[in-house]
Amino acid sequence: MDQAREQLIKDFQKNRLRMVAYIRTLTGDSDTAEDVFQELTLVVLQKISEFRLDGDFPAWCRGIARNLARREKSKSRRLVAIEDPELLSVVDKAFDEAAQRELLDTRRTQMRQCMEKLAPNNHELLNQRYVLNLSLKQLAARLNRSEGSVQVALSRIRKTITECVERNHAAEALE
Amino acid sequence: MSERLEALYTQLCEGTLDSAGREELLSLLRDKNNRAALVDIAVYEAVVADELKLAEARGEAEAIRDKSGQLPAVRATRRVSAVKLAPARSGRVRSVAAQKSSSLGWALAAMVLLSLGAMAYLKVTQSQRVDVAVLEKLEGGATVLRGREVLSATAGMALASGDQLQVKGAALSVAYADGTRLALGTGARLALNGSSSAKVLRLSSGKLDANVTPQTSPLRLLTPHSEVTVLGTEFTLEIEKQGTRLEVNVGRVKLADVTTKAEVEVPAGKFAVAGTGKLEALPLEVKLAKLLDDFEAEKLSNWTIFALNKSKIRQKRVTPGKASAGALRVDYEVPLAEGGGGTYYNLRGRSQDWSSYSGVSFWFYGNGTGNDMAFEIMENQLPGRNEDTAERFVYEFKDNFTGWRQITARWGAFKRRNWQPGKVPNDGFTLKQVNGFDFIAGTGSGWFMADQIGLIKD
Repeated sequence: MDQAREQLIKDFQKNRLRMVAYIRTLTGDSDTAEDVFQELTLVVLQKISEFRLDGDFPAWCRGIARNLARREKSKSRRLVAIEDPELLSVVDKAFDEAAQRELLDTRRTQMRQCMEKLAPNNHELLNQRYVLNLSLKQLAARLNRSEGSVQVALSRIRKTITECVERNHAAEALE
Repeated sequence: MSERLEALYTQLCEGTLDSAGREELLSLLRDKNNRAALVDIAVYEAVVADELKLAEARGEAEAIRDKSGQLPAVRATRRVSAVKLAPARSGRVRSVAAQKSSSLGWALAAMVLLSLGAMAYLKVTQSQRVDVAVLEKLEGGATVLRGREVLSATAGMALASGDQLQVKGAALSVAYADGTRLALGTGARLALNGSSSAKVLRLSSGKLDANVTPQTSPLRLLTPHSEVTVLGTEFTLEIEKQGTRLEVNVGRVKLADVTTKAEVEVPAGKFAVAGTGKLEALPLEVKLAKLLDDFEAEKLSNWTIFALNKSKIRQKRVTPGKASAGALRVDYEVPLAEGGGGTYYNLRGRSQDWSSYSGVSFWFYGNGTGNDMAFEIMENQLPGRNEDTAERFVYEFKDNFTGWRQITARWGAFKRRNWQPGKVPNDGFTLKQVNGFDFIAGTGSGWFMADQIGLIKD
């Protein structure tokens, strides 16, 4: 494999979570997103020699991911972006525009530190949401709260974490 | 605006976005800032999920270290590439050259990964791994997600705490040193945590058959709907769309619903489903009080197929059946939502009184298509009328499992069907004059089998 393609593979690995996020937006399910990403890794490694170096590599990967996601989603009946060409197009555009932007996946250390500062109940809420993959409805039933209030709580946690990450990042930049 | 966008994004991911929400989301995403915010939310969720899963794996390792004071099973290793590392450590992982028997795709992928490993494109890190089990048997493809690496699974491979198995092909089995064995079916995803003596497993999709030898510390098995606690037994756990189904063959297993926090002990010969709101242990096999059809006869003379709106239905008797010589097989293609089709059992003008029974039971062979199915009962056909005037009641279920399963529907689980043929009576589900029954397949394509259809009495 030539050096240019090796670099593309390194970039692909580096941007793993960005791709998982993209696939999850298409399929609506984090387990499916992980499955598709694993398939995608193998396909990209197999077909990298076919990729034209003057092409758009992230767009090429997203195209393969879309095909794999479409295949997975034939098993489900939920209306999700992969089955809606207009939504699919705008989601693809959003991730394309973000390709060169610094996102939270590049600030893992700060993310970890900020998540550790969360109150135990908030940490548990994140666990139930993102590890157990409980839906808002399931969480609401479990916590005896409305779906709206669970959504607000998750939104507040996100705000707390992202602001904390930004503060830490700015402080590190000043040092 | 960000909160609203987040709410719509959640609805999109959960499949609850309605057409008004879709329009609102599209409208918001015409703005470049909102498109950026959507990516921020999506990446945030991916990073949080990844961090939590990594923390969980780290926490399990720490807990074991604290408990034992030492780490006999832990070896500090310098991980250049897990693909390269595994054969050197265990000596049981086949080399890439020896993987010729695997599918070409997996072998190619492993080769590329290996060559990339040699180039050290994966970050060199100091890490500690806790070997907990061995991948004993592998039919078809499977991957192991280890930290951030995706490995091609091979028979004999040592599995560590934190590994996530994803079965692509037919099946695989995992063996622990104490003799505990876990068999995973196609599509199953299992995370191995804990240690060989304090097993903590997370099944996030698919089916798992477990044979657990007596444990000093209970084996914990988590699913999106439940937590299963086991000291030693044989059971099957399957994640379905509506919940997690536990079937116990030997011993007793405690099943807890993570949403309602209800718990039930499921003894041998019984099953329970967590995630449906009603947690109870029910018999695996129900005895029939009256047999309606067991497909022993060589012809399906009482069964007539029907197909609506471009649907295609075929039926035949196949052998063997579930418990007898034959079974009914129905192949269906239902392309339109307003279509449908199935096969109808005609009582040929001799209506039956089912009101003294409690429900209907039949064996159904599923293929895990997720397609809607229904068992329909027709009753109270108006006397002296040639046209169909029977009132319809249905029990709806999904083909979301594989293999034979006995389905039991008590009368309370039936509902009046929205569609009724013309002028039918609306006099409730009396069951005094049943004219026939049928199986209906909803949108989608596939096939199913049915056997031992009958009535039950509690």
